[in-house]
Amino acid sequence: MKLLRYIYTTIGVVGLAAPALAQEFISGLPRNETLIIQGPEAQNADWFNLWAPGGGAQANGNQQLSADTLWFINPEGSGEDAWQNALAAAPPEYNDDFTTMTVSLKDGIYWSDGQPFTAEDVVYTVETMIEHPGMNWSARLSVSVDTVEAIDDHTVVFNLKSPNSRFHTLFTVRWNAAWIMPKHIFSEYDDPLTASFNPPVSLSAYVLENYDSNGQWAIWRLRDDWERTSIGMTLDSAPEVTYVVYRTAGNPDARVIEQLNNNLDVINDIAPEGMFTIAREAADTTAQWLPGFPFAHPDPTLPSVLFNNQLDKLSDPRVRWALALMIDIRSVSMGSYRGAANIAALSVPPTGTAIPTYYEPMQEWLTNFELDTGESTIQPYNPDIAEQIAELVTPQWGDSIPPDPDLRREMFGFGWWNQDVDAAAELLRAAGFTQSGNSWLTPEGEPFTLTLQVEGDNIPTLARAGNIIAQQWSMNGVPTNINVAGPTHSQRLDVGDYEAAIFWTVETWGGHPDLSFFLESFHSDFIVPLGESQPPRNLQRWENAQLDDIIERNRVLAFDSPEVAELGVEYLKLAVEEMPFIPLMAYNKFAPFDTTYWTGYPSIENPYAASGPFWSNIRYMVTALERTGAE
Amino acid sequence: MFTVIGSLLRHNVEFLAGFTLTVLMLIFAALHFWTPYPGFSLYLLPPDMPPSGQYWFGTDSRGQDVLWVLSEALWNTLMFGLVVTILSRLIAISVGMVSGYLGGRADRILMSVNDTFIALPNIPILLLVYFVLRENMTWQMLAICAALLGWTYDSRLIRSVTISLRTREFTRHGVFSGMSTGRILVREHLPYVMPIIFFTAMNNLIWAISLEVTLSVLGFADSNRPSIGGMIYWANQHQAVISGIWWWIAFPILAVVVLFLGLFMLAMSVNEYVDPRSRLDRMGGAG
Repeated sequence: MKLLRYIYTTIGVVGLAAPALAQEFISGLPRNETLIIQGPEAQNADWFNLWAPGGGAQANGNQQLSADTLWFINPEGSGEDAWQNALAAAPPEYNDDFTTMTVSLKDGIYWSDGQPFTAEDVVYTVETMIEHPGMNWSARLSVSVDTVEAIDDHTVVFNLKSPNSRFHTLFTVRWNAAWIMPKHIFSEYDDPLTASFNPPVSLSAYVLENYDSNGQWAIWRLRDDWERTSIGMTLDSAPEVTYVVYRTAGNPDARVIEQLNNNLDVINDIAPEGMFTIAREAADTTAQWLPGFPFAHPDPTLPSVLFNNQLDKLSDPRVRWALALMIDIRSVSMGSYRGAANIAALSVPPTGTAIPTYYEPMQEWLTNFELDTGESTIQPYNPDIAEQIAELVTPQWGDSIPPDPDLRREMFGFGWWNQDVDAAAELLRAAGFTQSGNSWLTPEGEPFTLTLQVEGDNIPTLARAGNIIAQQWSMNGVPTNINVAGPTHSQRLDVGDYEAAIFWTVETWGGHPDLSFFLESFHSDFIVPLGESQPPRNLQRWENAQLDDIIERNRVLAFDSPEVAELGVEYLKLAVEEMPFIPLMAYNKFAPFDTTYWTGYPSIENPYAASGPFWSNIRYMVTALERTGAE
Repeated sequence: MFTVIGSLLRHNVEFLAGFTLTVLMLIFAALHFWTPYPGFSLYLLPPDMPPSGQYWFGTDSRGQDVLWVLSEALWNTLMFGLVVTILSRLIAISVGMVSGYLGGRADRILMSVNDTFIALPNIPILLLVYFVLRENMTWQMLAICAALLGWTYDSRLIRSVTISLRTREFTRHGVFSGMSTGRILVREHLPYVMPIIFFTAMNNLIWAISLEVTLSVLGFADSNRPSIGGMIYWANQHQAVISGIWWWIAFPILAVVVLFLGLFMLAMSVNEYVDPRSRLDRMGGAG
């Protein structure tokens, strides 16, 4: 293995000559005080305005380390621990009919230029975005807010246009949320939409030190007065990470090599094979979310087979169910993730609080769930499928897979639908399709074929999943073409220019059972005709009266009411019956950490923060890391 | 034609070597008609097996036998290259000979079109076409687009030969005896142009295959249809290089290298045959 290491180093030196030259920007920083994170490439690196679209990278440390807002929800947590008060001193207080929301703010927080943070900043943020349509949260604030006022320096009252028990989620970070603007800076600008906010004034523990105007890197430094920030107040001692570097690191191969050479502490979006290589070559200096196989961190995001429900041939739930029953999820898991997937039959990702709230209690209902195919009645759910996948990978990874069945379910998921091609044929016949040879004709007499759209290179695991599913549909009588859409993937999904696709329309808080995060956007009020741009999330354009009723009842429930979970169960049962899209798995991300210089990374045993480099709550990780003492 | 090839095989070592390598690769590619595993089927075999007696070229991370995938990939890549070559030769010959023979205004118009095409960058145009056509972009379509870009230099070369042929005695004989322009070009001039066409065809085939490999490696091709570039694309998707699955990348690259070597030697030796000075050299005559 020494030889392999040598080869990687050589490749690293030769093949990455350009990034290596770019390394000079780090040369002045003490390595043992610096955390190096794989960052995005900024198109317009001089732009730090997080409130207006300007092509700058928001995820280059800007939103993770220097912006702040009222609350955070830890996507990995569950129960009360998942809720984190940031700028707010307490959770939001609503009146009885959810038409006003009162927020009390923490005292003693300062901007990095020495100005105190007050309620005026919050009021200014809301009013500015309402006055200037086109800012990032303008639309959602305009729809909801009638007036906003500062009662005193640390109390803000929002008067809402209509009852809205979820208004606070606008200021609650999962991945990001409406950040608070510095009034004393932005009121100087003529137009907040065209201001680059460069250099950015920080409201959190780190401030911009230097950046590359070509968008390759940004360096953030711990503020001298870090304890005058919402995150600093909660710490017992100074954070040990003095500098945080976000730098680009090329393709997945380059990322792996750079981490093997200890030049990148945090990476993500690599193929499973890359993760296995790191685990094999650098086991002593690597930590990751799970102690062993499958290594991955499940994001509370649900990759699915999306169907365009507005197309005639896919508008019948029986057809969508037939396509689900043609899939053998074991091959999909092996092909996409080499078995390292966390499979999902319900339409919430099996992560965080969804496991005790939804997955465990609903196993019995799923097992007894009956599907009438028109010719017979079947029970399609197989509660042991995830366990079968675990068995498949045991020869290779046996030692690192825990025997504890509960832990195994957290890693591999619960059950899924049995592949049942005969039942699929019965369902298609019931829906008016006719069989001719080994293929099908739609009720209109057209050949039943599909195009399955995948993004491609950007998310290799999901492109691979799409290829397997297309192959299984083709082999079972529905000829399916794969279309690699690349950068046009999301635009085409947005206007309904697709038949089936691999993507997600379900993302949850992860740390909270409330489903409004995605469910609100599924209301039929937002559905547009084909060809027009569908507002975010309901890309499958699923319209259902029962669904609308669930969403409307959820709107007038308190966020923490126990009935939220009951409504969630109602929604999940409806989604199983209707199959508007086929849930596949949690979005497993391989995000290994290098432990040469830093320890104390979050993991399944200690899930105190999210694991990927781009989540805004990575700040909780950065401030918690400890030096190993390596020079 | 066949006597020429026969004597080249007998007397020219480069031609013999090039011919042998190219034919070997053709035979290897043709074997895929007897493949036990069609190229679109995945996960039939244990993944990541190194080369062995059972799997000569190993298996890839998608559970496919690299030997059989490579055979089919080579065939598909060669087919693409041949379609591009044949189509672009047809354009190059027509434009070059007509332009060179007619001269005057026709020549000026044709050559300004020709020079415009020379100035166009190939890859960006093909990518643009790919993004416009998307799922209607079959490999045949891509071949037609490539052929429309790949004829320009060669038509200029053919034109220059035709201009010199036009002033020869036998051309004038033909004209005075009442032969039509088309007949003169096809019956009298084409035999002289043929070796040049063969030489440029080899180079064009190399160019077309490189184009296919480039586009497929980047993922701008039907990823379910095995091709040399497609194999490298999938290997990258599975991070084969750093996972140590070297055989998934090495064999396709080796196949392309051998094929290019064969085609290059063919082109060089034919060029030598076409060029009178080097022929005199070989015969030991004064240069």
